[in-house]
Amino acid sequence: MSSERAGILLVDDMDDNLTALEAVLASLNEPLIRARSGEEAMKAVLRQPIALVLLDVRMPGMDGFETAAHIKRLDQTREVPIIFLTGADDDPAYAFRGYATGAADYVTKPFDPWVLRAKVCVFLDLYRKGREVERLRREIQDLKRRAGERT
Amino acid sequence: MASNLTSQVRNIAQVTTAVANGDLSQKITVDAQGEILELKSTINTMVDQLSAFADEVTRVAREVGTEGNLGGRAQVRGVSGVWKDLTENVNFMADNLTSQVRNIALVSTAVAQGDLGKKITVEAKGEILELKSTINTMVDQLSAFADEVTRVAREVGTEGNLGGQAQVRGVSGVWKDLTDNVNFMALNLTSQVRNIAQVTTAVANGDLSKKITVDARGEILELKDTVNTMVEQLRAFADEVTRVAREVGTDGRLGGRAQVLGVSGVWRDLTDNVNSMADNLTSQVRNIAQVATAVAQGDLSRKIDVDARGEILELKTTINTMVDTLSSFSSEVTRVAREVGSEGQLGGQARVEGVYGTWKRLTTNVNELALNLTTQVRAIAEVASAVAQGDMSRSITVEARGEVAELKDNINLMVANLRETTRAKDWLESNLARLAALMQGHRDLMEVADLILRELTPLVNAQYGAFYLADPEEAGATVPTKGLAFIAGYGAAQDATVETGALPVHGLVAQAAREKKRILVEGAPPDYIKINSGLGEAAPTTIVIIPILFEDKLLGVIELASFSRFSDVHLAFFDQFVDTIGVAINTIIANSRTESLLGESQRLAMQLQERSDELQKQQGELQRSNAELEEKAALLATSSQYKSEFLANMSHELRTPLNSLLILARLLSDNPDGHLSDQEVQFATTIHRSGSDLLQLINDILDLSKIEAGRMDVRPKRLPLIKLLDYVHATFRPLTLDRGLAFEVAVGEDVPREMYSDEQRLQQILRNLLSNAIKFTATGKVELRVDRVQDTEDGVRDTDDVIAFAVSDTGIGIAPEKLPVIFEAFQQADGTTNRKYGGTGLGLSISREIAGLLGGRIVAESEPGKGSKFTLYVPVVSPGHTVPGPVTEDRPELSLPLRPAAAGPFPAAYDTDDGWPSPTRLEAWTSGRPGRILAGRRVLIVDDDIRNVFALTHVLGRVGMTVLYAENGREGIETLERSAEVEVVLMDIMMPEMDGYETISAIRRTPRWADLPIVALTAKAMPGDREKSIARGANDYVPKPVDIDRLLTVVCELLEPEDTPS
Repeated sequence: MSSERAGILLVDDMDDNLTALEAVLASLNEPLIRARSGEEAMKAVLRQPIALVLLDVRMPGMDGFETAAHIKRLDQTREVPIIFLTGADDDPAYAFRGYATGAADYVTKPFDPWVLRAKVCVFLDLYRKGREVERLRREIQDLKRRAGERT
Repeated sequence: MASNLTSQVRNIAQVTTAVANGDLSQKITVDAQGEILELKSTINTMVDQLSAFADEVTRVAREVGTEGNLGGRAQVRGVSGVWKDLTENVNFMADNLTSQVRNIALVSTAVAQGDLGKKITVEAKGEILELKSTINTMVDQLSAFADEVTRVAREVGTEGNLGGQAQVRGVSGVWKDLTDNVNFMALNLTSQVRNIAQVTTAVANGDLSKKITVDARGEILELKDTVNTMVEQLRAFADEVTRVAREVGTDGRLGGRAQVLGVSGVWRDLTDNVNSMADNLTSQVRNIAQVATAVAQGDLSRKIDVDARGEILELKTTINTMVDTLSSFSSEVTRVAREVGSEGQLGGQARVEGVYGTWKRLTTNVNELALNLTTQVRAIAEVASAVAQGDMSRSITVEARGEVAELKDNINLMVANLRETTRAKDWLESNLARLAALMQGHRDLMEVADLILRELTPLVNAQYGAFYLADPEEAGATVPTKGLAFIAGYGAAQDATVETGALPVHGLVAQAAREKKRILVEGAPPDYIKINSGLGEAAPTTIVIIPILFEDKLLGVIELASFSRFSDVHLAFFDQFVDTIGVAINTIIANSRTESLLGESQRLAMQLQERSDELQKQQGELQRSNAELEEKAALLATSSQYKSEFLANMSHELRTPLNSLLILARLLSDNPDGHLSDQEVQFATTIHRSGSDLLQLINDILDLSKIEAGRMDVRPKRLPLIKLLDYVHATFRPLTLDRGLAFEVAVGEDVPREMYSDEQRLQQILRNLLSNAIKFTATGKVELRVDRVQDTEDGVRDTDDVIAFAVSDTGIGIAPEKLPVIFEAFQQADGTTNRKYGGTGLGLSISREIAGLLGGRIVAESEPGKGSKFTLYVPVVSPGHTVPGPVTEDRPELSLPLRPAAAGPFPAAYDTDDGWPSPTRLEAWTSGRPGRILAGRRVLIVDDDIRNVFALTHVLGRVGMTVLYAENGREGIETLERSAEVEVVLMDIMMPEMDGYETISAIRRTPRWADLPIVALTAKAMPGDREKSIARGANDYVPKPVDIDRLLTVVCELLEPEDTPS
């Protein structure tokens, strides 16, 4: 993966919903990537670093759960947090199923844009902190190694 | 005069004193006359002459004595007497000195120039004579010295005769020292050179044990060290090479290498060559050993692949050819053995080229064996097939021996038997068929019995036959209760019959009848029966008694007697024929019974007919009306069902467009950047509100239709009441505060802490009731009272334990005649309510339906202008559901359903790696050479099948590679351009737009990617694909589904080919 900025991946089969998500998150000034299907989402996570995935559950073909399962299974992408977007009429047990698949959170549509935005910020923050931790860990390893060489 | 004299004498005295003092410059200058004048001129002349003389002598003394210009002579004119003698003496001395010195100089110069042959010959006396003899002696000594030293130098230095010493006598001082030094030097050199010569000779003769021990310094010391070091190194080198030669060459321990430190140049080359030879031999011998061992252990797949030349190459070729030949031989023989022996494909022969001796014999034997077996088996097969197809005329004629010959005989015998049996069977079948046909259509029992005997008796070579018919028994009896009557005979006299009448049958016939089995009597006694004709009579030898059965009921008995034995075929025929007879007889009996019944039934039938005609008329009318009703009902059901299902399924579709609408409208109305005017914010708020209302309406309609379609589920669970009340409080207190209403929640004392019901639905109903209350109340208060009641009205089923949620308000109230109406869908008390108060009018009807689902009901009371009270009665425990365990307040809250054990619509999480392919052993690819080659490499995968890409990415990441992705050819090329060094590309062939081949061509056209390793992947996997891929520019090809081990092997090979030095 390149060292470009990590983006937020928006996955929904309806263009209108993607537009709404973009409108809500535009002011965060993070790169927003659209995907209209599970397959497109999988291709997107391979192409660039992703900090967070907003994933519609109900999509034709590969649904949100299957897409999440694929992403969670791949070593290179398993750490990416996923927020499921479920419809209000969906079974409440979808929430549980979402957590079981490894999603970090879920939101029912129609969502409050400010609530969603706040959640996204939290996860972006988490992602950045994670990267920082990773960088520090690598630094420490490096130092340890160099100290070991010197003795 | 005195003064004259005085001045003259003073002047003369002055000059004379001056002369006496050696100053010859003064002259008399005074005036003088006469004798004084003569004296003046005499003195002046004398002074001049003295001066000249002194000058000359001084000149000669200076020239000869000081300046060294020998040969000068003083020339003084005008002198006489002593002065002339003086001048001559001076000249004589000068001449003497000159010649002596010149002679000495001559000899000295000669000596200085190296000519020691000259001697001083000049006459000399005194010290000069001493000097002369000294110089002459010195010249002699020098000459002797030089001769000696020259001799020594020539002997030792030039001619190489070491050991010479200079002998010079009579020298001392420096010359002696010189002589000693020359001798010392000669001695030194001699001993050093001799020592060096010793050691060098020893080395030349192969003795590396000697070292230079002589003392030496400077360059000789360096030479000594150099030679000693050289001897040591040579020794070490010789030791090492010997060791390696012995180990590798003699002891057979391969792998040895000579280690010699500190050698360079030829020695180093020699060491390297010895090592390379040892290595060569080692690797060759090991490789050959490997292959030979493998062959000995039966593995014919190995070949010698080590580099070799000359005889080793010949050996390698020979062994490889041998392995090939053995391999082909064994595979051929195996093939034939498998084909002929296991798979049964006869006719195979082993074809092996280039084998001789034992192998050739073995091949020939195997082929013979195969051929033999083939011929025999085919011959047997031919006959067997023929037999299977019914042709029994064949027999096996092939040559055979041993067990196969036995088999051949057995089969031939079997075929002959079959032939016989078939013939018999044919006879049996054809006759059965014939007789069965003959019996068709007869209606008279006696006629049929007669016919049977007539045909049957001669057919089986019998001469005597009798047919007994059983009297019809009571229905249901299986044992004959009446007698058997004789109804037909063949060659039998009437009186030789069994008694009939009321007596039950007896004898063998009775036995047969009772047992229902054929009885065969062979070898009957002579007077048992007599078969007679016009010419004679005799006793039969065989009698057979056959009972005729139909469905386990005895119909009759046939008895036959014959002179000859009944064959097995005959007996088999009896057994089968008897069935046919039974059927025929039974049919005839049944037929006659049927006929009589027929008449009876015809009469009854006519009566029935009249009655049924009447009934039919009535039935027809009924059916018609039924059909009409059913049609109507079906139409109704389908249409409402369709509507409900449509709505339920469309619920998602209906709500979806609203999601984005509401979110965007909300964003606009919140106006975070302040870019919108107040009016525009108002517009956005209106849009949001309308959207929300629409969503609410859709939700309500869908709820209703769900309930109608019976699809609304009630999921009761433990529900602490406090949770419900908290919810109500949290939701509605703010609203009431906003509108300036008082809000009270009161709970009765005996209300249980927990219910067992559906929390969501209860919330929905309470929400509806409370929001209605708030909506229609302008001032005053809204109250929720919760009480436990015993509901004895028939509204609540199954239980008396009921909770009442009473929502009362001080609002506008409802007119009594409108009370029932408000629960209807889309009805509000006043047609204008919607405009003033909002709402869809569905809430109460939904609430009523849901209350019903929960096992309860809603009751409404109201007084216009005063307020309304809506009471929801719901049982504590939802009916039809059993509570697991006692409903107490100590159980922890379970707000989520437990992990579903049943399959249901919730499959387990996808948490295993089982779906994705993985290498057989991951460690094999993360360690050793492959681990080193693969770690950190960058690979680009170009494939539009993302699931396949994910699987590969996962595995490639596990072996340490960095994976880049491109969806199609165009993106692939872009990615190559903008990414850091990609080292290998996995290219799918089947892609839309720009397929794999095109992409590979495009990549190859770019100079810097001309050598980039590319592996083609495709799911087609047809023959020729590999060649095509490589022809188009790929380095290699792996078919899908991808075998990970194969893919990693190919990638390793491309990244670091085997013959690159590591």
